[in-house]
Amino acid sequence: MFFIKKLFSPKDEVVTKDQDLIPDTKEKMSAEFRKRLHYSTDILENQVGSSGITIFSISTLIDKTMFHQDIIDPIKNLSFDSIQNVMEHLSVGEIKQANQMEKVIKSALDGDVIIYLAGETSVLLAKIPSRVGRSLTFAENETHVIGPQIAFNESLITNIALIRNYIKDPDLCVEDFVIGSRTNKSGSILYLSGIASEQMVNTLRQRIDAIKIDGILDSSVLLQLIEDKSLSLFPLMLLTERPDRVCDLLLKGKLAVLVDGSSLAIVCPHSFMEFFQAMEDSNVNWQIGTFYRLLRLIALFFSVFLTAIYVACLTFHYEVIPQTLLVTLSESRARVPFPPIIEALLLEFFLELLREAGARLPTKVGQTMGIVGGIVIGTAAVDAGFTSNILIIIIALAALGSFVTPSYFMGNVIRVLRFPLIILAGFWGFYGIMYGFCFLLLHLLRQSSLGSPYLAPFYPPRFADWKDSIIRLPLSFTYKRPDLSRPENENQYDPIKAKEKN
Amino acid sequence: MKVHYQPKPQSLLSSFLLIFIIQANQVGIGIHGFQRVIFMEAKQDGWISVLVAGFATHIVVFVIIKTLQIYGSTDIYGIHHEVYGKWLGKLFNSLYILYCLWIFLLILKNYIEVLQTWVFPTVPVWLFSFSILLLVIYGVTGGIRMIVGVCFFSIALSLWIFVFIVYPLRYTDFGHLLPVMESSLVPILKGAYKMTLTILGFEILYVIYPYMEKKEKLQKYAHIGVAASNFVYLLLMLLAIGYFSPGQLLSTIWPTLTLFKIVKLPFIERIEYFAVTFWLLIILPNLMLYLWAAVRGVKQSFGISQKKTLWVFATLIFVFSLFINTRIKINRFNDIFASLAFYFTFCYPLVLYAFALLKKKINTYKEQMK
Amino acid sequence: MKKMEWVCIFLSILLICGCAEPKVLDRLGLITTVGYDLGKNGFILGTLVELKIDPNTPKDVVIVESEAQSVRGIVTSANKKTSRRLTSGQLRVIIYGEDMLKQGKTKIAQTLTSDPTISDMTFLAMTDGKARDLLHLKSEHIPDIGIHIFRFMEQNTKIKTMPSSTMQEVLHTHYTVGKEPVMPIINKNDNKGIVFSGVAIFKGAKLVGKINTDQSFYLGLINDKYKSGSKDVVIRSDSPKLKGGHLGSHKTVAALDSIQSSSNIKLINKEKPEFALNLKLSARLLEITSPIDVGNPQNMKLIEKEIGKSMKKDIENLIAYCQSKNSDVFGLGDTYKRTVRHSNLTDEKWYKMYKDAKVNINVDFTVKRTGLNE
Repeated sequence: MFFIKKLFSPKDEVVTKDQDLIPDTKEKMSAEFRKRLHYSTDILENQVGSSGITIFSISTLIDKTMFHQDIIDPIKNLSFDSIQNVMEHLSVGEIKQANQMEKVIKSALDGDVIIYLAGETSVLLAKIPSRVGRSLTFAENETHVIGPQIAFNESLITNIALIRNYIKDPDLCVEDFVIGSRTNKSGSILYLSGIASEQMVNTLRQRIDAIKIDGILDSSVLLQLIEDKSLSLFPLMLLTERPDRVCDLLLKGKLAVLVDGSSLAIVCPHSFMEFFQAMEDSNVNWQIGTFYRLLRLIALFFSVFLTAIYVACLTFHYEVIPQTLLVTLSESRARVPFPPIIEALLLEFFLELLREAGARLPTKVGQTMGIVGGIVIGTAAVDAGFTSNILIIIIALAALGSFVTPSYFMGNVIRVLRFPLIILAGFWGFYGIMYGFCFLLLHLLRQSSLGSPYLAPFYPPRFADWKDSIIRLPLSFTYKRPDLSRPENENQYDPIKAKEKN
Repeated sequence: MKVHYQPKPQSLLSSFLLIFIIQANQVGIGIHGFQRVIFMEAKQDGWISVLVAGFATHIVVFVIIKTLQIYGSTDIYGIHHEVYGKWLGKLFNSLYILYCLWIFLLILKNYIEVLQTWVFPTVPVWLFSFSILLLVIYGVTGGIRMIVGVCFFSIALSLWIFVFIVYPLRYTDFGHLLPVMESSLVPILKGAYKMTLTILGFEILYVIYPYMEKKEKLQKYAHIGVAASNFVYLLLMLLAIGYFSPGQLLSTIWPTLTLFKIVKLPFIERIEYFAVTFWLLIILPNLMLYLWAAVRGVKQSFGISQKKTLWVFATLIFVFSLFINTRIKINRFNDIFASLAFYFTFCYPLVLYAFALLKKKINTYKEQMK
Repeated sequence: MKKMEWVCIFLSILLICGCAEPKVLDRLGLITTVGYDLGKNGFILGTLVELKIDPNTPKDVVIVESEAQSVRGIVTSANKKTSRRLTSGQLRVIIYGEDMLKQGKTKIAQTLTSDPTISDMTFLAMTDGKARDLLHLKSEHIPDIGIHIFRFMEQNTKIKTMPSSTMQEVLHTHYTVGKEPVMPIINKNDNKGIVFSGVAIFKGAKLVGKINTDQSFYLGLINDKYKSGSKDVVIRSDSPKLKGGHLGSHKTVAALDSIQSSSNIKLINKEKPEFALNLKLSARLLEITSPIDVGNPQNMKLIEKEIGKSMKKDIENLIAYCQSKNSDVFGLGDTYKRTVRHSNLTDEKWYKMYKDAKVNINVDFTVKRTGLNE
């Protein structure tokens, strides 16, 4: 763990109270302000007309138009004797007072302008941040055919607004926190009070408070720091870009964490099974939803085990190959120079390369990449006697299987899992596969998400929650919130009334 | 040492999980080949032996829970301590720990033997025992909640096996059962006695008991668990008698696995290869529960840290597993154990119950005197 | 705890260093069919048909012959003659030469079951003459004789023209007291193909007799259940109605199909074994060679009765033949053992009684329908 400790740089020594006071002359203030920001060139110092007011700010962080219209214009022709008077003339929404230099600098970095009047012990902080960022767009990583198409963007305020728009409930709590001794990112914990478990909110709060790190740029990094066990391969909390998904889970009593500058929300606790559920399952009718879920589960099985089974059968257990397949299989294998394990690993490696290249390259090139790769691997490799064509089908099936997983993070895990399983199968055949499976089972059983069992609702068995796990029953049956999030209020809606309507 | 042992509330288990614990711990390596051994004694009435043994198990389970209920929340180590006093109690605890380790070794060895005979004749023993031990250690360090989780999944994930009973059923002639009661009482009882190795596993109740919630319901769930495994045994026994002709059954070492040889699916020709390796999941809870029970015993009676004993025991088992390396040695090992296990699992609980009752009577009498 | 996990993962990887002996599919010679003949000096002559794998070689199947003193030894010594390691995990059919079985060497099958790689669903068959000659059959319609025989047997056992003789079934009856195994006889058909030409009857492990395919139908009728069989029944009847037609006046043939049957054997006399064999058949009458009006219910009754009679006659002949060969393929002894308590029946005891056992046959035949025409 020593390397993580290194990451937590010791927090700068807190400046003693006397040094932290607002200087009483303009020159001293100016010098202090510049010194603390290390004489950056984007420091802006404005002498406003004859009023005796000086405005300090970081020019790159503030909105220039607002600065002139709402701050300079109203006060430039007036004169003030106290800082309180200034406040009355400003038409900015968010104004605070501060009397410590530390706070002043922090808010300057947040996009505040500092309104200073010589001799006063406090200054005014007016928030006029410049809007750097993009507008709301379609969800691109978690696309759905049916359902809202909007995704989060990088602004915390917008993201909270999106959620507030879905859940117009006074019980929706937003708790702020700041993280990173250098990045000073603001973030929020969201939950529905009265539904979400108080104990879990406390745990989450404690975990976030306990983080001592210099900088976090994205919620995916925060996720790694607040997960139950950081050594597990599996994602123990959900990262999603869809506000509707977050709201659905909030209603089930879960907690969400949003970080400014990140377009992904963390939702916890999240169980293994829920990674294979998509919002779309609840947007279509229950039979189709169930079908999708079963499809994904079978895909999961194929994706993880199929290549390994191929390798095991061809390396050790030729007896199990059915007679009808035997001739085709051995004919296509006859020209391949490598043992099955190398053949499979090679092809899997190719496929991973293709996928990674597709993700890294610009979109237009990426598409041609797929076609080229498909042709090269699909036909040329077989013609050259490099691989058997049955393996191509199997690998393609396995790849598809990993892509249908709604969570990108879980999809990654599935793809990575294949490699150790192929190796185990190549060395120990079926025993290796079974060994890998047992290890995975034990591993999953040991995991927890925010203290809740990861394999819920299967173990510990909560039979009532099975109704919305690998299958989805109609809404009139699934009125209870899952036990996973230990909700304070169990019923999502009145079962009797829900049944009447359906 | 305290008699009462109250685990932390978060490690308590729902009482209905006892069904899975008992069933998973009973059904294990034994069901590979118990039919032959019983058939040797009781011929086609072997299924009656299975029923008799099952009935005896119900009685013993009833007594075990009665014994535990005398003391409330405790396990066998606590009871030993209470009943026999400090030193004798420790001796009995050591014997029980030894018993757990022995049965662990037995299961491990028999499974490795099956693996070597059916699938990997050339893979050395140490490799199998080493790899399985690692898995078991990984599981046991996860704590009892996790071990019970494995019990649950091991049963839930092996239900598919029942589907394949349909295949041998087509070749089954239940006429082999006729005439019923051809054997006299003695061979049937002998057959039931031979069930010991297969049917044991319910004695884990002695150790798991303090970890269960709602202790008053345990009696019911324990019996459901035992009944479920009895059903499995009976089914497999009937199937084996019907599927094999007498001579065939006598010469088949693992009738249950041989039953699989007939299954033929469009995509997999020989399911038994998969079934043999799949058994890893079925014996895993057995191994984990017994090792856990042994390790807990050491903690309870000698106060040595669980982690240390775990590694020591694992090393011991690994070393011993290397010495028992031929079929004959394994058979002898099984036979010695079976005769001891019979007294340990079927007779001893009754004795312990009697002692516990006596002790309690004495205690209350003493208190009254005061 | 975290350290533990790493230790476990690390050790697991280490373990992989010890790897199992691989049997890579394309490096193996897969034996699909084996023929066993009697060689010189008590040796067994094995003929192994290897699966044709390489698409580049136009030559057909590889057939390896070798001689050894034990069954397992054949594969070992044949290995000296091939480029791929011979394995019997995909073995489908075992064919015995007649002389081999006359010696009583079905023990071979028992030896094979102790090998876990050999499936219990392997078919056993016999051939008149040498198995070697059958497997060396070359015909342009048969690219792979091994697979051809397997498909041939699979197809015929499925529709039950051939008694099913998988290893499991043969050994099952072999080990049963009071029941003997049977095996189909497969022969060359004029060097062009193969043909199912009869059923071999055993006593213990020894070949004692053969019955033709016609009688094999009746054997199936007694031992098994038909769900959709078909059969031409020769009616030998004195009734004038059933005479004439293109076969002349001495016999009439009825073509039956969709035959459904069930049989039931009961012991009715313990002291002097006497059995009642009840057969229930129903079928569709597709063709009858005499000019009889099948639309007439009375005629139908007659036909049913006569067919039943002819069948009964044939079955009686079959049983008499088997009794003369001292082979109880019907499992009469097994029935005896099941019914009589504490009989402690052994093969010896039974065969003293079997010769004089009486079987009362009762055939109950009904015509269900007559196809599209009446």
